[in-house]
Amino acid sequence: MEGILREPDLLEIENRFQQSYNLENQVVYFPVRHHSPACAYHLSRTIEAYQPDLILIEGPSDSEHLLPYIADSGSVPPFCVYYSYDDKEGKVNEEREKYRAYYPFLAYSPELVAIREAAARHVPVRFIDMPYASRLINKLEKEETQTQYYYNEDKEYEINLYSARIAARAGCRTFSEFWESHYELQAEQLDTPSFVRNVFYLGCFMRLATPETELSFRDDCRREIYMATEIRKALSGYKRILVVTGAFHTCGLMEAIASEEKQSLIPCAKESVAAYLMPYTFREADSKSGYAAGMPFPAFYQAVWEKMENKGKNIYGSIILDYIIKTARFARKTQSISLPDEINALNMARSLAALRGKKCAGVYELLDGIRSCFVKGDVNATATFEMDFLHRLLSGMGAGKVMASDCIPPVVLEFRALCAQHRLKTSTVERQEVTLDIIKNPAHYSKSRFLHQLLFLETAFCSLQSGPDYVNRKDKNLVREVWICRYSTQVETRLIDLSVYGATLSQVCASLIERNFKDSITAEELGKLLISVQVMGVEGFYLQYGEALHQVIRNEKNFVSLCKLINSIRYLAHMQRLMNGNVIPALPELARLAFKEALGLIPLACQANEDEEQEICEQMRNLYNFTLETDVWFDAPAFSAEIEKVLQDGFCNSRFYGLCLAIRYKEGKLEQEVFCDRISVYLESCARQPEQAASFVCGIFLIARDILFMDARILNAIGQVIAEAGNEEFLTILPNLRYAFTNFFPVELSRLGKLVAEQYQISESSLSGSATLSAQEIQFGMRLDALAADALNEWRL
Amino acid sequence: MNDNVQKPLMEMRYADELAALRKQDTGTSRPANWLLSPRAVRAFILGQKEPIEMDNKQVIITPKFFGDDALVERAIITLAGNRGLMLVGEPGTAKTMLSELLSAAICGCSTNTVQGTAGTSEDNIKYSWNYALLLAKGPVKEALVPSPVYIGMKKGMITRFEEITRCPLEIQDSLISIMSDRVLNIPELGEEGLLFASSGFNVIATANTRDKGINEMSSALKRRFNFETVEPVRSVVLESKIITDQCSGMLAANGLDVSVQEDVVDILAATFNELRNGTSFEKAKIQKLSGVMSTAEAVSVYYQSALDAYYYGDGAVNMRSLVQNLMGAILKENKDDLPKLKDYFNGVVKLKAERNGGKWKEYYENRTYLK
Repeated sequence: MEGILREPDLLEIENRFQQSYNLENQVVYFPVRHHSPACAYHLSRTIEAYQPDLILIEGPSDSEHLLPYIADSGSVPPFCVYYSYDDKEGKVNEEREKYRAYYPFLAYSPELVAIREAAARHVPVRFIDMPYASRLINKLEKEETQTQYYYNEDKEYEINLYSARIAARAGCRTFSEFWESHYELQAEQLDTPSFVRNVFYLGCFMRLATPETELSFRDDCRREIYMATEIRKALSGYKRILVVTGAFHTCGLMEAIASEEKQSLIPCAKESVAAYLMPYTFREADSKSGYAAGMPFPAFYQAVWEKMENKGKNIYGSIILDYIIKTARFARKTQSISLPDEINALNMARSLAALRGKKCAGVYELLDGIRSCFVKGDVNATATFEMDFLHRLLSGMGAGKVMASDCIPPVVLEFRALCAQHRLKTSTVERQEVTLDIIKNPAHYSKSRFLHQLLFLETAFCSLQSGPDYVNRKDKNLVREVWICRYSTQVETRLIDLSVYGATLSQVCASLIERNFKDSITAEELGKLLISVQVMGVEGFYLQYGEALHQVIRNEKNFVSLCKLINSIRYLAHMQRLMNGNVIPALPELARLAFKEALGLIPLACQANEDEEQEICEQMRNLYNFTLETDVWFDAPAFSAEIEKVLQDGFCNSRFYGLCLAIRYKEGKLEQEVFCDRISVYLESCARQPEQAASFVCGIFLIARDILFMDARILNAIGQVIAEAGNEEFLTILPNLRYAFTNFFPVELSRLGKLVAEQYQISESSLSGSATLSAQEIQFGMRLDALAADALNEWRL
Repeated sequence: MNDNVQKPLMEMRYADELAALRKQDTGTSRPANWLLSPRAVRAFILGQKEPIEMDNKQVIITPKFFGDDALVERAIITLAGNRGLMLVGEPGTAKTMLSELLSAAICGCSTNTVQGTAGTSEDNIKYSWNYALLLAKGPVKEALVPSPVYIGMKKGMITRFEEITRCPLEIQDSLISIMSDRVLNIPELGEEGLLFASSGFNVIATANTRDKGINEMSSALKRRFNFETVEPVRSVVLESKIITDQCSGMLAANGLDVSVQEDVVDILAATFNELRNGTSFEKAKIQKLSGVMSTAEAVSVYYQSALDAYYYGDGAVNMRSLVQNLMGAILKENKDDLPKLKDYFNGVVKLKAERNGGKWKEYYENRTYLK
């Protein structure tokens, strides 16, 4: 066969098998496919027959401290060993990244069965594989090192040329189908040595089909040398050693033991390595969901395993019937699936199995049966809810549980406790929709803060579907938050990764926020951050980072940014009053400081160019409005003094000058007469620079548009500017003039229109185009109308 | 087999394979009235590695349907049961060919067919009368003109119903009682007017999902069928093989002594595959054509180009002719697809021409005929 580089010698393979699986030997090798109920079943029988005094398992040897928790009957699969390595020293490559690995256990994983059998028999058990960190550091394929890895992902099976060919030759669509057909379905009919022989042969052929020059193969050989060393260490202390590894490695292990080859490995720093036992989900265990961690359809094989354990009869037949019934029940919600459809689906599955030469129908026949008998139309054009549902059922929607509180970071424990407190499910991967009335209900408010924390930490546990977005000031009118929550293993792995930042969610959030200070954060960004802190309910933040906050404000040299920060602080204070009635004392301090700093930047701001003048003026107006508020947070006299300075100086942006003049008038420090005089004079002086006049008017009208109706001189002066402007100049000032009048209400605009009309002696009717009719004319028209109606009636039209 | 037949029937074309399979298929059980067991039917359609020895020669069972073995298996099991088989899918995905193969293998006859059209009446589905005999002798069996469904029921064989959704819904529904009760009532014949379906009778219907002028199907009728969706071929290699096989057969059947050029077929298969899927093999995004880019259409484009080369050229397929035939195939579906085809040439084909040169370059240079 193409791809097999070394010709298989069947006699030699049989000899090796006899050596590997001889229950009289000191060492017995049990080859497995990870996550296979059939392997687990026969492993259990082998343990019973061999009665080992030590069991060695292909698992990272530096995670042995987790073995008691794995063996604990309170831990419910699926769960996984989560392993992380922080390459601070750059031993893997120059990227110095964080690496993660998952070692999943399902109820029917042979490794888990071995660990639990060992615990039940009080037999010691050990992991013998090279630690994940060592594998990374000593890897030959450094260029392609991925930061995420799944142990036991059966790469050798799914991508091997041999596996693809053997599946195709057997008429199967995938290797998994081939495995089910030739191993799982026949598990109970075969005696254990025959089954083990089949698995052993398969592993050998896989190995022979892998080119020795492949770097990944050489990496595997290094692992095997490591495992062989561990086995050799055990030889002197134990008489019956059972070695449970992937079938691919069995031959390699035997060769490595025989050769007594040794290798030197680059060590890794222990403090950079961490391993935890954490719940896993069926969804993630399903290789079809993209995580490639073993066989597909874990929930289906879980059911098979449970029946195997209970010594059930017709295992696959009864499970398939069960799935057909469940799918039909679901499908009946949207379409008419009848009992004959179910019978037909079952017959289809059984007949397909017979046609394909299988012992009985498996999961692939189930899928074919449902597809053929339940889907009524083109699968690409019809909604196939029943197929989607069946896939979800086969994959499984639950999650595991672990009894290992003393080796789990406190932040994860807090997450679980808070989920339980807030009734958020972590035992399923199903979507949960949560609606929170954050204003009225304190419990909902607390839940909202928890979810905001998880959102900020990017755990992927929840997403805000609708509700007020305080940070970006959107949908602030909404009082309810709608969240979508969905548990996955990734949530806890993310929290474990973040656990170095604190023991509680609040601490972790605060630490991450602190990291932001290290970057060059602006005052405006600080404002958003403070609102985030509020919605997350991070406690002790202001106490811990008070000085850092002040420093950000002092370093800010942008007037607009500071004004936006003040705006955010005011908004925050409003939120705090709304939620719990009290404002944190640190907020007024921050606001005062920001206000003071902003005042200091006014001399710079008043020299604004055309691009920024409008925004600066709007922020200046906001500052003025802040000084009018009942809060004594802002220093109004100092603000007034700054305004005075600008007016006295006079050399500044026209719009800014107009605004300052208007503020002065509004403060009552400028008489109306004087105010109008100054406006008229300014506009007259700008006769040759109409752009400045238009900009000035914009500034005035930002807060003092009422002056236009109080003194006719203003309107005249504006009219004069327009009259004197040439065609091109008019077009230049038109946008600013139009903008100036956007602050007027419709009523004011109507009044203004009348004033302009009076001034230029234009009648309303001449503008609207309507004509005034006399009473006689109207009566004549009505008579004509009546005559026409009578005529139409007469003619029956 | 008569060499003058333009398109030989499946049972004629593969007579030796069917005979060999019948000879081999002795031990296994087969449904009543089936000529072959389900396994042998599978082997006939999907091929068999080991040749069968018959009359001192080795008969190779060639694969005839590619891409989805499980679909064929499901179809066979459906036909062995009490439901009809409905093959749905885009035009040109070999639904008809599959139904012919199944009929030929199961009952040795692929001609017992009702062709669905907008004008198909209930008479075409059930039975009609020879009016001369009807007037002379009255309603007697002799005067009855049986339909393919009638023949299928009587003889216990497969009836093919082509393009069922082209028939009006109420006409389609005349199949309901036949499919569920397996009995045809002929009231004109009185007490003798009940035709019970013999074992082996079943219906294979085909329906397009993208054509214009198709009708809905009632839920009641849908329940009497198992649906199988025949997908376009996903693999370019497989599509090239299908084009090559089909064109070789067609050229040989017409007595044209030319061989199929694999490099041209590869280009054509790549073009159809990329335009159908909306992405190129270089992962570039392509505007998907609204027309059906079926493998059957690709076969037709190559065959037309080959005829052009044979009669007007030196026998070698000319890229100009290929581009023109490709344009014709696309324009007959939707004229708005022409700009998309031009974009495809200016982007993807240009890139391939630069990288691969040769025929791809020639193909690109003939883009000027796209107008």
